[in-house]
Amino acid sequence: MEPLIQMRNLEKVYEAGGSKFYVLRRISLDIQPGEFVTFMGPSGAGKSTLLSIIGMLDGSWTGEYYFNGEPVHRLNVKKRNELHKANIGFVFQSYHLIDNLTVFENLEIPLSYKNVPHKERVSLVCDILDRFNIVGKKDLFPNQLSGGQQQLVGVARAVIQSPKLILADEPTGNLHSAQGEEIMELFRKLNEAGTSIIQVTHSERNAAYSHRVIQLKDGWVVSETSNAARVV
Amino acid sequence: MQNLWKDITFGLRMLAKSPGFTAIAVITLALGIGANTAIFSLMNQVLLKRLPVKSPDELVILLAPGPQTGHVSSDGDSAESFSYPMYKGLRDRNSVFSGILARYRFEASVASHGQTDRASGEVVSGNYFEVLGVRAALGRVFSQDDDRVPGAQPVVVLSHSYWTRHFGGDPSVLNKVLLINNVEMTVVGVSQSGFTGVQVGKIPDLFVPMMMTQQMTQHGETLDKWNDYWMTLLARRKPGISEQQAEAGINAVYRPLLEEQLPQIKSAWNEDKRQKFLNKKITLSSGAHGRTIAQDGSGEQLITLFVMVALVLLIACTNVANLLLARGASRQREFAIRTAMGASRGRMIRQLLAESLLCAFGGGALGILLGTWLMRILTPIVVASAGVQGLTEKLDPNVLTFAIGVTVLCGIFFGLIPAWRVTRLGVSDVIKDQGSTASASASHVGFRKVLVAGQVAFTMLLLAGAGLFMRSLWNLRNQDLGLKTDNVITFSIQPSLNGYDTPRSIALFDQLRARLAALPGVRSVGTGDVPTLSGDDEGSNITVEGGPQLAEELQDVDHDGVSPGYFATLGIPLLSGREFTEADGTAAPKVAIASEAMVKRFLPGRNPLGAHFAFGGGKVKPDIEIVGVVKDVKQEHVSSAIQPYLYVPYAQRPKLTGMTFYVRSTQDPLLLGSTFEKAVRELDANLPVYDVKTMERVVEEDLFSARMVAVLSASFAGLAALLAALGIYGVLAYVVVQRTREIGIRMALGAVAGQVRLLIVKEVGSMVLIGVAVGLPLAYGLARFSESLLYGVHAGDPAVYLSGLGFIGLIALAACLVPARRATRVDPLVALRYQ
Repeated sequence: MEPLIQMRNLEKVYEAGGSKFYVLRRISLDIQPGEFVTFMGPSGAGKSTLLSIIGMLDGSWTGEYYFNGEPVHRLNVKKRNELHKANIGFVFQSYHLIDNLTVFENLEIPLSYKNVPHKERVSLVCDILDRFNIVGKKDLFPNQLSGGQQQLVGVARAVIQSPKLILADEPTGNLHSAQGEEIMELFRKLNEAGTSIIQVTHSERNAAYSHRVIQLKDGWVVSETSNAARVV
Repeated sequence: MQNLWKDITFGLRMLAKSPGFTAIAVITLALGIGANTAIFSLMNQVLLKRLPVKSPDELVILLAPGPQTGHVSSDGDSAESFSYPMYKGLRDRNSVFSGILARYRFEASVASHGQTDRASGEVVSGNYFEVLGVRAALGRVFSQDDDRVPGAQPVVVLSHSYWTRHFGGDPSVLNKVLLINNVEMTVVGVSQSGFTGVQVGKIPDLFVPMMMTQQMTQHGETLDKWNDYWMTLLARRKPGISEQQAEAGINAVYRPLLEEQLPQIKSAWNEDKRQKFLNKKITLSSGAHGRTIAQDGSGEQLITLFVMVALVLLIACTNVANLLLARGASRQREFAIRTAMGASRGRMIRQLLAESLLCAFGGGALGILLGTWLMRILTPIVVASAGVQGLTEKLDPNVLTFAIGVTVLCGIFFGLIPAWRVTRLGVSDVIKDQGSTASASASHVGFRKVLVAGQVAFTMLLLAGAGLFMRSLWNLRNQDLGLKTDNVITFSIQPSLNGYDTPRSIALFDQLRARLAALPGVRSVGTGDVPTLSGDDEGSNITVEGGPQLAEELQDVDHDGVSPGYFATLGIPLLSGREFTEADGTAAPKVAIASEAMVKRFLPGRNPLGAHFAFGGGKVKPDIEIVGVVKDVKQEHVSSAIQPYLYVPYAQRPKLTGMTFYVRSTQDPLLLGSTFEKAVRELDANLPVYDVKTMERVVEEDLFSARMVAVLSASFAGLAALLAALGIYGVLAYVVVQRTREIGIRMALGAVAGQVRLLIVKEVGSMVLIGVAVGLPLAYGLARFSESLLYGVHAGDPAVYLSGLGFIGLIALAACLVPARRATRVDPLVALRYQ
């Protein structure tokens, strides 16, 4: 089967004052469709940068990156954005809901950017509200929700467009343990339903939900471990 | 469409969420758009609007520059004046115009409803209405049949506005007889509504057939003399005939007509001058806007004001752009999230543009209301003081289109740049949850400083412009007019319009002077037949006995027919000799009083008293004796240069039509106003009294244009300065917040309040210096463009620019006071924890 993500010798470098600072070094990895992968490592290891590159939000790197067979390294910004819009959902540590939009409108945003017709948008948002048990919250603004509820909406927003891949950067970092567990359970179910997931985390407990853990340090991939004791 | 609707509703919500920002942005734009709408409305009506007639683009005005001899009457370019025989020849022989019309303006005294009023009339050719394509609203307009027999067409067509104003739109006015300039005239029609004649700013009240010229006009205009140039001609090009073809076609018939005229010329012309005369060519200028007297008189002022007010709008837009940039910086997280959700940059720009356009529409709507209000104030002032009639304070479709266009452009201008900048930021920081916008802010603040420097540049330009115009006004107000205006009131009568001949007029003026002098509170009375400071003049060549040989253009002297007591009443100092007395009557030896400038030019080094001269050139007998010399006076305009001037007793004028009276009183002269009318009525109940005003008002009216330009430009500059101050304040407040941590570190390391304040002042300094460096040359450029509007001050006057610089400095200091104070109050401990 063709990997969902294939990277070969991917490097990212910052140049400052005539000297080069490598953030990622010769990254080569394959992630299969339906896989749940965790990136771990100390601060400054390059985890979030790698996540941004996988999410196609960062285009300044060298090397080869194929997404679902598409050569991302050869695509222009517009094509990259289209690929990103069609296939990838994001979940952030700080939820990053838009303060001035209601829950309903926050969920609608990615669909509107994909030019999904209004009727279909409403129907999809209603489905997801129902699926995530947040119908009662649809008219509330983010500041009227708890952290857990906000992250729930964040995940729902990532899922609404049925992405092939969800990228989650410390998704439970700002939540207490019960809420965190709830979100991780949600990820597990989504993954079981076929969605690939890549998360960045410092938490061994969260990492236990994934199939594979990739350790980064100083921009290098230093180890890859299959997760035998995966939470199921 | 639904996405657009979403953008609009979200935009409305965002604006409602920040009422302070929204209010400031909307008010700022409203001030700019309102002022622009009002000035554009004036400019549109005076400069841009086309004549409200059929196909105005087909109309042309005929001009014949070159030698003229005989009697020339003109209210603009004398090349526009033609004689009736020439008109007839051109009209009947040409093949390029579907019609040539002729018209001439005259003052009318109209008696109806038992009272006499002054009105503005035009004698017009029979084809006048046909050529213009103007129909009758009531009755009929003139036809070729009204153009046949001189003096046999006592009929009148009223203008629609005069009919409405004076007859309440009553249709029974048809066939009524009005006494116009003492001739019984039958009303045969009313011109169509909206037709305002062929000259912007001068709307005729009534039209009379050209055959009635002799009965209507005052200065002996004739229908049979080739050398009597007085009527202006407009023509309509035949379909398919270009302006060049029309010019060639009309000149083909003009030359034979000039050859026909040449034998009529009595002046001793040499061959060269005769050839010049025969080689005269008719040139055509566009008639789409009618005669351009008002345009030529006020075009430069209006364009200058329009440039200034457009700059105010630019500054206002820049301010709003600056506000949006500040707001955009605080919304970076939102845009980063949207990007992560798949929003394209164009999509986000569209959303931000929707917000800025909503803001602009708010400002535009309020601006149109404000503009309408300003027009209500400005328009009557312009109509009353500058004598430009027919201006409306209502929004016409052109002005509304302009206001809406400006609103949309503003929305795009001030919205696009911030939207472009705000949406170009990366989203990695958000993904990494670092939330900080420090790096982006640094670039934002740099761009905002550039915008503020731009505001300073434009403000410098406006301040310098306003300074020059204020200085001009001050110079005009404070110069020596040569006469004393305090406690003097003036009014005019024109008995010739009521059928008085010159001897009867003289008798009337004598009697009226005596009656006025006897009124309680009157100190002295004087009269002159050329109203002082009204822009009118009457000039002739003179021949001075034993005088120097002068070039032809230096032989012309303006003159006035005045009464005994004229100089004393107007406070004009008599330098030598005597004033006129009652003994200087019609039959007495001819005498005159000369101005200093006249003596200097015509009698250099001689005792002027006892010297003789005559009006006219050639073999005339100098029989007028100079009996006095008076100080030079500004006769025509406050801004006119002093010219040689002669005064003669009005009783010795060969022809008198009207007279202006000056009364010096011992009390507030306005209290005497009604007693004058009573005194005139007692002598002739049908004689209208007009232009009753104090001499101080006469001066103010003469200064109207200068005052309007100075006051409006100062207002615009003040508004610009306020907006620039707000811009500087906004950026500095932002800079202080951004540099809080740095300030904290500096203070922790021992910086004192003065050093912290200096940091902030340096921020201002750079913006102001760049702004001034760009603004100064621009200001000088605008000043050079408007140099003809300046008086007693040149475009590069250093005092004005230094004052402008000082004012900018003050604004900048005032704007940085609060941010600097806030910076010195930073607590280092708090600041070092600051994110």
